[in-house]
Amino acid sequence: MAERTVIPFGPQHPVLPEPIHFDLVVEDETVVEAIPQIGFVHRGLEQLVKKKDYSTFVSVTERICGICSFGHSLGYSQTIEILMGIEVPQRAEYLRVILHELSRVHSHLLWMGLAADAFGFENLFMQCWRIRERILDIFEATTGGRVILSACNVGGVYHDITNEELKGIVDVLKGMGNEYSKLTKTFLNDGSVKSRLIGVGYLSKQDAIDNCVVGPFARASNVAEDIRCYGFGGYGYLSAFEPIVCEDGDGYGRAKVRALEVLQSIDIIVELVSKIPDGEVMVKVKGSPEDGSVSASRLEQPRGECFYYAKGNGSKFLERFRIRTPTAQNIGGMTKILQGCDIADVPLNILTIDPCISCTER
Amino acid sequence: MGSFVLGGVTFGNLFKKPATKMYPVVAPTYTAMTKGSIVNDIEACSLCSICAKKCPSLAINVDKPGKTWEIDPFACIQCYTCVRACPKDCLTMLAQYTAPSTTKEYKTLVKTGGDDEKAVAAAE
Ligand code: SF4
Ligand code: SF4
Repeated sequence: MAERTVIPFGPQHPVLPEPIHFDLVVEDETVVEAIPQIGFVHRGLEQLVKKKDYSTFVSVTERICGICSFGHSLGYSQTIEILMGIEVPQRAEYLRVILHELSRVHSHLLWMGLAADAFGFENLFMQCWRIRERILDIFEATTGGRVILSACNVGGVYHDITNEELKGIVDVLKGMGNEYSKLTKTFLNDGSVKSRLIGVGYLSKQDAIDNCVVGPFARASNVAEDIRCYGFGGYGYLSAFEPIVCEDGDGYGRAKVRALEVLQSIDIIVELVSKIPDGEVMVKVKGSPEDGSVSASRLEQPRGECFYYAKGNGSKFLERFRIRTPTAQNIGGMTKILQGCDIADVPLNILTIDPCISCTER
Repeated sequence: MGSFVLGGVTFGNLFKKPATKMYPVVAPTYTAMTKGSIVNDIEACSLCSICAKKCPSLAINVDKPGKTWEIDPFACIQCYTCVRACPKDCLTMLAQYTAPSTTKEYKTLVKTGGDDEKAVAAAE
């Protein structure tokens, strides 16, 4: 039997974009165990919530993640709205979902680019990011920000997107369709991509359930779990929603799920734009959460289910606020897929789950 | 198979305009909504400090007796809170970003005219 060696990997490592540390126990070239460690960029959100009032705190939640920034402001606002019993105008709910789905499109395109970059397919990487840029342009034109939108707060969204602008968004997305289909064709059929992804980081359905993985990671292992199915918020207005699942369970399956989810998000946006009602987008919020009131909500972020919990204490400041981000949930599955993989596949395996370690460290 | 598709896209790109801009030779274009930097029309400002209290990043300082209003443009996160909160509507979000600088300095505005003078004028 080969001798076991421990190789430290991260938090700073040339091939690792995120601050996570692994102790990789290897036998020859094979990883037999991976022991993760996080906590390198902890930001102390739970303490900060006592210093910023509930309407200002949305600026903090938005900055939990640079990619699902809008999603976090939406999840936070949703939770506080449940806490205070606020009814959000319908148009605002529609706009929130539209912006959130646009975030999903740009997040998945970002991931596809990064994955292409990870296996050295620079051309594909640039094409993905070029398309993604159009989504950022839409964000800039409609909310003013490219990354941090500051568009959502408790009570609705700040700025209405006019019906003409919404039509413009749909046109841009439809115009993207042709280029995007060429990209996915390359991404899913190209020999070099396939040779790098097929069979890499296999996770069986049972393992996915046992490790409670969420998001595209779970759906690629044939676990049909998507919070959007439950119709929270604006998702209730969709005529139908079916989560995209794939039976492969490997890196290729995850790529496929994400590639198809972009098209699904575009369909959601097109449907909602065709149905959006007119009206107010923000209600005035007065008062503060009652003492002892608690609320929780869930949201499907690009990386999976995100859970929010808030507790009021009668003042403008929350007593407690907690987020469980999708990556926090996926770390278990990530260590599982690292077991038995080649040491050279470790960075790619980590990448296929689309980790956002910095969001994990609230 | 996939490579040929991408090859076609790449070949087509050779005859298209580049997707990027030669910044700073070519000036960036902003939209009407772009959140760049905050300016204050100080003469309209009543120095009420509401903006300073609401700012999530504590970028604004208001000194009523000294008649100054100052902002740290690099601390500002362009969240619009102050613009929405200002009762006098004297704050504006410009599309222009804050110019790069080697030092982080407050931009201080001093109010010259003011309520006192108006009061004097009214008395006369
Ligand atoms: S809120 Fe408006 S009026 Fe009041 S100090 Fe700020 S800028 Fe001046
Ligand atoms: S835009 Fe936001 S961060 Fe900037 S000064 Fe106004 S309130 Fe402060």
